[in-house]
Amino acid sequence: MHLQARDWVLPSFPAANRNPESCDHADHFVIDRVRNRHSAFGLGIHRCLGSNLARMEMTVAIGEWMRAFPDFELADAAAVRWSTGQVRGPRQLPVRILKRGAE
Amino acid sequence: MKIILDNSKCEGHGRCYALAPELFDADDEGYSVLKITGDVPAGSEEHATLASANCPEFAITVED
Repeated sequence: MHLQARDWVLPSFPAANRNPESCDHADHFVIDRVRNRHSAFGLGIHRCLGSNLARMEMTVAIGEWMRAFPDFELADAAAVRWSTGQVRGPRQLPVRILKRGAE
Repeated sequence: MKIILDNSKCEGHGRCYALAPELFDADDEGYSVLKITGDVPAGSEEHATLASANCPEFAITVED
């Protein structure tokens, strides 16, 4: 494939996060990865306007989920459905609750 | 250790002032501003390194 001057390019941000040259264990889900120059919220002038709200929401949601369901596991790996395109994430993620926490 | 913040690269992701609030702050539009002048205070070196390593725009560098 040959690119011409002034051609438009749409880079894949999810693919950039799998780059082993910029991320240790790039293909592993490491929720507490400390050095993490990820591009999940995009880059440059069009970076996600809601990224800071999203981080606040995730902080609350993950904490509340773990409080309510401290132990759970993936119920059916084959049933996981992934979104495609620029926004990467599971659309369906069946889990089995093993322990309930505080209401 | 010194921090060099390139404001022309900053897009306001805000990871620096989330990770190192004693070193970085947000301006009125969310872009990063350095709170210190000169050397990084003792004890904040790891935070400075983290802010640099997590900036998606490569706007922050640290120098020993």
